Amino acid sequence: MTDSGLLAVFVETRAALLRFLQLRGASAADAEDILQDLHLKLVAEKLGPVAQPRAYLYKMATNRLLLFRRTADRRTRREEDWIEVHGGNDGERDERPSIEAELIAREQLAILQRVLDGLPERTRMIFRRFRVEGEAQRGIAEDLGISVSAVEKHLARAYAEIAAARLRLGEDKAIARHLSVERVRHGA
Amino acid sequence: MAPKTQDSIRMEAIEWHIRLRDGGDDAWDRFAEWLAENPLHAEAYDAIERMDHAIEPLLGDVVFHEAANDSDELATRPLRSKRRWVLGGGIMAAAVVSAFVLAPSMLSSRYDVTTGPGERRVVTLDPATQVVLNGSTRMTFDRENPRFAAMDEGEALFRIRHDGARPFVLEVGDNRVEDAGTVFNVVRVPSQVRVAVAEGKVIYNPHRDRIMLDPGQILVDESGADRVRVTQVPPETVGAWEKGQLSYYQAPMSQVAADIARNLGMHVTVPPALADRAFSGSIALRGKGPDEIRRLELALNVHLVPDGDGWTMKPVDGAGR
Repeated sequence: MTDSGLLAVFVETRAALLRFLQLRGASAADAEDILQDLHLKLVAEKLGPVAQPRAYLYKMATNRLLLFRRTADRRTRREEDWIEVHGGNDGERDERPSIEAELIAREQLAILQRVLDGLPERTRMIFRRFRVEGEAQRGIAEDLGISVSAVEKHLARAYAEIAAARLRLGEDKAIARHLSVERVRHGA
Repeated sequence: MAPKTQDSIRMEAIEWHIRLRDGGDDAWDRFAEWLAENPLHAEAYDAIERMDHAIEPLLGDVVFHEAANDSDELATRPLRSKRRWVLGGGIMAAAVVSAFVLAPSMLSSRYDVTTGPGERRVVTLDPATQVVLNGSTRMTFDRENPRFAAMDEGEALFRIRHDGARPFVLEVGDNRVEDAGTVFNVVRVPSQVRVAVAEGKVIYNPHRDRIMLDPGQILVDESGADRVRVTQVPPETVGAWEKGQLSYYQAPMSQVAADIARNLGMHVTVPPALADRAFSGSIALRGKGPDEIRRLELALNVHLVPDGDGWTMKPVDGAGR
């Protein structure tokens, strides 16, 4: 069987992918690592030809980049936490993140709910179909008898309002985190 | 940096983020160019991507208020309380409030609802009558008659409010399925019609064959055959595709493949050598990622080899790999 399809496109696109990863903020070395990893996966998976091979590879590269970043983030955060809470008592250190995370999640949910409730009904419905149900824009557009770019406008509005709300949320979160750290210190 | 510029970059980042989800080669190439234009672009894009990632775990708990919402809640509640099938969590609940897509036909109050491969849609005909369309399905409903539906193609699960005076009528080609308050599943493919009952009672072709179907019975009407076949199925498996569960007893692989194709929205080709191989067992469909495909291969004991627009089944022992 000819499973060289995607692999061949990968070889052709490698330079563009390397540039892309660096444009997305990866160091040259990290970008190389990510592509190396992607290459191995392609060889192991024996994937055949796909419809939009470059899009597929860009997506895979993006996913790998995000995974890579999350791992790095977690490492940094663990170190920060250790410094911040060092001197606090161990039992409290274990409990704090789960309670705090739950409070934050509940607060985030309330904010998101409020933002979505504030959207025009059609915008909200389109956002739900696109983001929750994963329907393609074209399908939504055809169903509603509107253009794809009109669907995109609805979605852009929904995302913009969520993004604006999230900015404030980010600050709240930072404050909450400091407060709880303070509390632990005093309690210790 | 003027705030206006920052805002417009953010809007562009949002547009890219939306476009890329189902974007093709061109979109990604152009996205790379956009990133190259200005280092602030990557930063703005990161922020949007992070935001979208952060709302992921919340979306299941969000309530989407929509016009159809109120009646849909009425529809699910009484059923939920006493029935064994329970609608799944967030996503399914959201799908229940799903909109009806009206393709207005010019002359009548009838309208078509279609689903693409792998897509699901819930049509609420009255507060306690609901039709769940599986993927690749085409149906017709009537705005003025909530006790009518017609299936051109595909599969749907029906939950029908009891009304002894006014039976619900489903037309499947020139066959009729009549029912008075029940849960049943209908499949229509070119070669056959299948009707399976989970609860209540269904009458198949009341004016011709008059076949009564009870819970746990499945009727198979092959086109060209002069009589229909009625066999048993565990009632709890009827319509279980809604929860991603497919169960078979001695079913031909061609049928299994068609069900997978309809549910997952991927094309599955079955070579003649495999088409009639009998399959018994249950498979859970959770997506079409590489791991899921591998699980399916193991469950069905076949290889799924990617081809142009989907997958081709190959025997495991075959040399064709």
